[in-house]
Amino acid sequence: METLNNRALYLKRLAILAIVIAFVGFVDATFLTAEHYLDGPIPCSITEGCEIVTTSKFSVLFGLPIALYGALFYVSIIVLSILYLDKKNERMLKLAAYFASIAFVVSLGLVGIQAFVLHAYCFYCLMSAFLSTLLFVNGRFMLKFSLK
Amino acid sequence: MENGDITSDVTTEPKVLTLKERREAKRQEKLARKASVENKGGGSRFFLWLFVVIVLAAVVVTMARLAKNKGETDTVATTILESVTAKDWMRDNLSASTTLLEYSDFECPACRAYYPVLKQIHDEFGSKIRFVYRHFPLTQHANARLAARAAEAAGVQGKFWEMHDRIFDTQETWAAKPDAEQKFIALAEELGLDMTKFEKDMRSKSIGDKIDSHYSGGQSYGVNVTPTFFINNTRFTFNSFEEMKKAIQDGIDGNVK
Repeated sequence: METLNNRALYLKRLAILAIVIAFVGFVDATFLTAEHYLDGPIPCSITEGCEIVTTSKFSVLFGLPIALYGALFYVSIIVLSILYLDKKNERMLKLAAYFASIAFVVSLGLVGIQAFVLHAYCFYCLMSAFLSTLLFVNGRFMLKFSLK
Repeated sequence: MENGDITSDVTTEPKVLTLKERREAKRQEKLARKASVENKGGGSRFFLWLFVVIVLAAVVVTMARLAKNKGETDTVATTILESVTAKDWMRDNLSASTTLLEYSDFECPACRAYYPVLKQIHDEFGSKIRFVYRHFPLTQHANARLAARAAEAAGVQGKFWEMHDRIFDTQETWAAKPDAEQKFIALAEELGLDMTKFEKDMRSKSIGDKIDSHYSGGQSYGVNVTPTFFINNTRFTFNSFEEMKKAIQDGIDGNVK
């Protein structure tokens, strides 16, 4: 009984943490998506190599910017975490953890492209990769504490 | 002592409970919690999701505005017009009272995107403005400085603007490529330049220093993105060609400081 209550408490905290991280990620990815759909060309900035990354051929998948998929991923984490907090259905957290695993692998690939193909880094993209990694680790704990 | 009684009640009560009773209490507690979760439907759940949707929508709107407005900051650099000398690369009407000055990076995709726009400006306003081009090669563009050197070296032989055009026209063939220097040499050959002199100038220290001075000058006027435009002493970053045309017309009308 005692362990069950602890478990529920841990999962609740993990879900809240996931919402906070995913919200920051959503802000970040939405900004990148908005930039993508802007009319004018993105100026090249002294501090970032962002335009190289965000205008590269790797920035678009099936006609939509990668950033948009990122934004949808973060929304899914937020929705699933809130669904868990609301209905205490642990399957929601498991699903969120699986999504986060996929996002982590995708992020690794995208950082790899920045490092080895484009030789340029975009702060907002690296930020998103970092947040995906946090969500992935968070997701591992969710899986650890949820029922098998 | 009433207080004392209450305290003693509170402290002694749990000890009185048997293990079985304690289990039962926790079971009840859990059932109550479960019930409260199930009763939470309807109204409050609707507002919870409404709140989530509103917050996320607010983020989308804010970010869209932020991304759009990022380029519209105008700051006044009081002396940039005075800094223009005969050493600068200038074209169109050199005695015009309106100056359009660009800080540009040959390898920047946005500068490449503005290049045909500037050609239209040149066709439409060429007789009314003086256009000045300055280098602002960003470090993330591996060949931007080399491209600036190539343009300057062609400039020594009087072909700066011809080289400028060709470098932009061919940007995607040399940007981030290891053999960019060969590409620039080929462009110079097409222009019929003295190749020994071109290659020597392209690698010369004085041309490197000139590019450095453009860059540090730009920094002192607050340039931090390319392209950055100045009309007279006012800094502009445009979101569209129409915006740029309007600002230039305002400049010609004497409305830009």
